[in-house]
Amino acid sequence: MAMDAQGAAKARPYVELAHGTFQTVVDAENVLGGMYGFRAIPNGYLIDENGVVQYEKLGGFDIRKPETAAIVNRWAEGEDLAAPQDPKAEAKDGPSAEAIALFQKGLELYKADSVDEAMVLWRQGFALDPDNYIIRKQIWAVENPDRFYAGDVDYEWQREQTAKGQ
Amino acid sequence: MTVKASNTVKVGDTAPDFTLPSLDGDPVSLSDYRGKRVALFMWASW
Repeated sequence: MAMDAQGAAKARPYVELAHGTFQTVVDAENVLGGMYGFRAIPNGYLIDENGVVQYEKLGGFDIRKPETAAIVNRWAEGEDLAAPQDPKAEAKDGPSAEAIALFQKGLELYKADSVDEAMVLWRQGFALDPDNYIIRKQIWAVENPDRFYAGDVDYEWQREQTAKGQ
Repeated sequence: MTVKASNTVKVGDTAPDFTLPSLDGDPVSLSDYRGKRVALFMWASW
């Protein structure tokens, strides 16, 4: 589930790098952020045969980490995970629906090559909900592609941007 | 001013269904996998 607003073209190289045999879908419009109630990634949800969520981890669910891979492997092998509720999901305030709507409107402009106008709406969304890193990081990635798509993603630079409130 | 989104999915909830395009643009729904165990990861290139 790639949350890239710039779509499959940005996501595909990473799937190929991982030799992914899993189904990958692209949520360019951040539909799931509003539907599931999250503002940042990476997240994981383990869903049983009846469609019920049995495990949830918001943030830090990086499949490259051994502890994350172990949980997924146990799940795939049919183990029942007695997982406690992620406290972040207990927090009542989900992401701002208004901020997500601005992001989605901006995406339409972005796709029509009106990048500057898109950025105005995305910045309004960011201002409404500064903790929404789906919006925030998408602004960074479009404005500073060299920090993202020229080799490794520059996470140190991202920490600096966060500290500066950018 | 923050408008709250109403949905925050928790353990024990039915996972909301969605349909999104695959990398090749074909529609994929969560409900396609009913009857199987699903591991959902949300990630991005950034």
